[in-house]
Amino acid sequence: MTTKQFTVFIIMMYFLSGCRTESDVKRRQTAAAAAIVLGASADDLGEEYSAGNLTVFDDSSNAFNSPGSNLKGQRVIDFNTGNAVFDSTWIPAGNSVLSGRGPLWNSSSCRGCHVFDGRGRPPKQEETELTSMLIRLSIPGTDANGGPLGVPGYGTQLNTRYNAGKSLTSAEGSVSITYTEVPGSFPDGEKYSLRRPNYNITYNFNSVPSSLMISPRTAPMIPGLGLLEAIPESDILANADEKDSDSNGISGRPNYVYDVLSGKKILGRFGWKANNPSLRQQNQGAFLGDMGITSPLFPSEGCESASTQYSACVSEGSGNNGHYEGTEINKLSVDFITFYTQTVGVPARRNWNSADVKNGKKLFSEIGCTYCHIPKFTTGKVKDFPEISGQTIRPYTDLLLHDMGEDLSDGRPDFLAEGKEWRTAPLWGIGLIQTVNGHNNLLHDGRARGFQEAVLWHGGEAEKSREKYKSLSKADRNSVLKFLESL
Amino acid sequence: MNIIKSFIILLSVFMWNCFLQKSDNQDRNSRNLILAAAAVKAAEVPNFLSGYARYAFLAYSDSYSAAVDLQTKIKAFTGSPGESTLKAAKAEWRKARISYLQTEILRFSSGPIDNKEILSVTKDGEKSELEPLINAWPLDETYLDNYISSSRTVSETELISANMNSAVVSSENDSAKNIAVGWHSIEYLLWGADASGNLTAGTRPYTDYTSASNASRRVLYLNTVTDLLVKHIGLVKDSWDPDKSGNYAVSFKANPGNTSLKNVMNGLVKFAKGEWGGERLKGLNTNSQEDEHSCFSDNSKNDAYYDAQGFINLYTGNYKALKSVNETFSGLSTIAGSDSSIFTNAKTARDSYCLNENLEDSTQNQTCTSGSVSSRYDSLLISTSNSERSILTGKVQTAIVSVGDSLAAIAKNYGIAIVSE
Repeated sequence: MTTKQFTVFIIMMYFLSGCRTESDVKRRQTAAAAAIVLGASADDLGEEYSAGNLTVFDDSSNAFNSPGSNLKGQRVIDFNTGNAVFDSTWIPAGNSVLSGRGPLWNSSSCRGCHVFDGRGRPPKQEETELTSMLIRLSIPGTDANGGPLGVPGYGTQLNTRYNAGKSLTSAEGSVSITYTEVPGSFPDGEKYSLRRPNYNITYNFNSVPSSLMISPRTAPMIPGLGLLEAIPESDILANADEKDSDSNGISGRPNYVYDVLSGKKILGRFGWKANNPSLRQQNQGAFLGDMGITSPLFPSEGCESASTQYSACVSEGSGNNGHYEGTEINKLSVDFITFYTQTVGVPARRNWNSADVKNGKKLFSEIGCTYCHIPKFTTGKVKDFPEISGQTIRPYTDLLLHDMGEDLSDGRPDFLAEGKEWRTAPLWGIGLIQTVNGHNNLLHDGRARGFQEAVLWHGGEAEKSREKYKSLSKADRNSVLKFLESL
Repeated sequence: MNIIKSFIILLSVFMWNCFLQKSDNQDRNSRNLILAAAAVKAAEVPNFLSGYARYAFLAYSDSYSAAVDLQTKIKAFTGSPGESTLKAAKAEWRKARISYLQTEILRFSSGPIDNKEILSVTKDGEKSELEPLINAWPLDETYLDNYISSSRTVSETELISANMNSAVVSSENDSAKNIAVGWHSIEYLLWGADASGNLTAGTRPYTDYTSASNASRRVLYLNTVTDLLVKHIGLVKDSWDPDKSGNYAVSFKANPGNTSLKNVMNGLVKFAKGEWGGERLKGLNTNSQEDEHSCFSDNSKNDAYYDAQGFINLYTGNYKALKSVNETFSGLSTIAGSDSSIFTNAKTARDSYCLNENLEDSTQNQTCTSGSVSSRYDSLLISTSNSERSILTGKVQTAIVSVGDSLAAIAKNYGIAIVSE
């Protein structure tokens, strides 16, 4: 009996012993660990558990909003409370309940953009408004904290809705998107077409300077965020290679962004440009920026002093009804929603074991995708948070910034991120976006209609891998797509 | 070591390990799994679905006739506004809520109340399901006030349109809709705003319907939203009416591919975890008075109590109808197996609320038993030192989560996966 046969034999017996009722996750991981110890290789045992013990086995339209499987008892209740805050619809100041939305806003609930906690998208042809996507704005230079410099009268985000029937007479602006088809072909002759977006934005308040920069961004997915936050910083930085010292053409670098709580620059992890340091700040930033809700971290309403509509904006007043800590959402609600965003589970992979998918996975690695879409991390120990601590996770991201080429550039810096630079998007769960959200619009602005188009838009550091993908046989290309679909 | 020996030793080790884990496992799901084999009563499923359809028709019928009574009282008030007619209308609103709340257990189950493919109201080519027209929340009072003070037409079609549509949004994102109709609009029009920090129900004077500005438009608005409520509950009732041709009950009972049972079990779990044990208790967990559900009337304890009652009705197959007749049907218990905790927990969740905030008809107030919440609900939300909070944050929440878990376990016995939310 060789070592390999012996390993297989032990693992087989392990499963023969009939232990597969509960805690399947843990047991498979134990088996995987045993396999590693005994020198078995090639397969990543337990690879279908994308999020360690937080993995959820749900491939329905609710796949992105389930509590991590290891949440129990009171923690599930807390999750449900956070979910209720996430789902709450906010209304304008002057009301008895859930008061304080606006005056200017993009959505009146978290769920409004993060539909079923999934991926946002650009409007369909027949739709006239952005619903799960927004436009970031700035002018050259940086603000006092090193972040994007707001556009006078508008700030750093275009609010496309407003509280009607009050002092304001319009939103900050409106957006329509048209697309130009860009044809291309694979070396084997197969043709494809990509769509390049063009933004037509009407600005209703101040006239905007010609140096204006915009960045369209779709709403990102919620599953697994707490685990990304729990990856030790050193493990992320270990993959940074700003000078490309290993000459593989990949030079990931960290973004360092302003942390409001400490007043310092710290590692950015969230947002399309890793422009947010923590879920707590990201969430409260979204409450203010997207919904017009003041919070403990951002207690002032976002009326722009240079705006032609400034006095109309401030005249609405606060919706805190004289309560709480003087803000429109109180600290406890923020705590619950933060807990919620930390504990939404990630769906397990489907068909991970099929030959086609396995071949796709191998190719994905061989053509260099995994240089940036790093398959696996282990989370660190998070105080009082056993559920997200020490988990083996498979997010397929390095959380670093990479030059993605001129075609994807928004030309708008965000802290250290340049226009061409984007954070490697996590890939876990992407195979279920179609099921959950009824579309497969990928990349920061949703221009890609499916996995292949997303791959084909990759440029800059990813250009080599893209070209290798294009040179694969049709069958192998399909395998890669099948693999992505299994995530 | 030869192979046979190592085989035996290793297998023993694994099996012992396995045994230890199993015996140590207190997780209720696995306990239920063990019970599962005996718990499946597939032959009872058609009876339960018939029972469910029967309950739906009974409950919506009662809610409909209670809404008609409310309409009568509101017409009496708006026809002759005064202290006593306003008080009578308020008392009737509370009474009518009792019947409606017991239908809430039928939500989230892809049925007529909230699946627009089955029942909808169409305006300007846009379909709306019925629930947002009947019971939407949170009500935007300022929007409603502005509507009344504007020159916009107050009519059934215009108010439906105002409720459904503020701007063209995608079908999956209703976040820009205004709420102009339904139970809570009537509540607001009768009681007025819940002045914050002021621990009372709203104190709207009847003169809002006589001498105040826009009084006649307010009269029209209240009458119109009341008529709409009656009409919309009537539509839901009719869709469950076994005597109406094309009624939903027929296809529901046919249960193609077990879809009806699947929808029902998912709806029940979603209702338990998301609404009854989630949304309804959110304000308590977050100390937020702005999360009080029936804030204008201070009727929130009734919301929770009768949500629980609705579940108990459906579970036991016993329903005390408005006409005081006990109606019986095949309840959920007939397919539920031997888990008796589900009934106990639902009862705990119900009886922990002491209904004692009816200012208009004090004969309806209960004498509070020990262990039930006697405090005003709005004060409970913000007063962290109130010892009664722990009844709801502890006992009630735990009980409802257990109900949800039991429901999920029952579903699993029938091969139904519960999708959360």
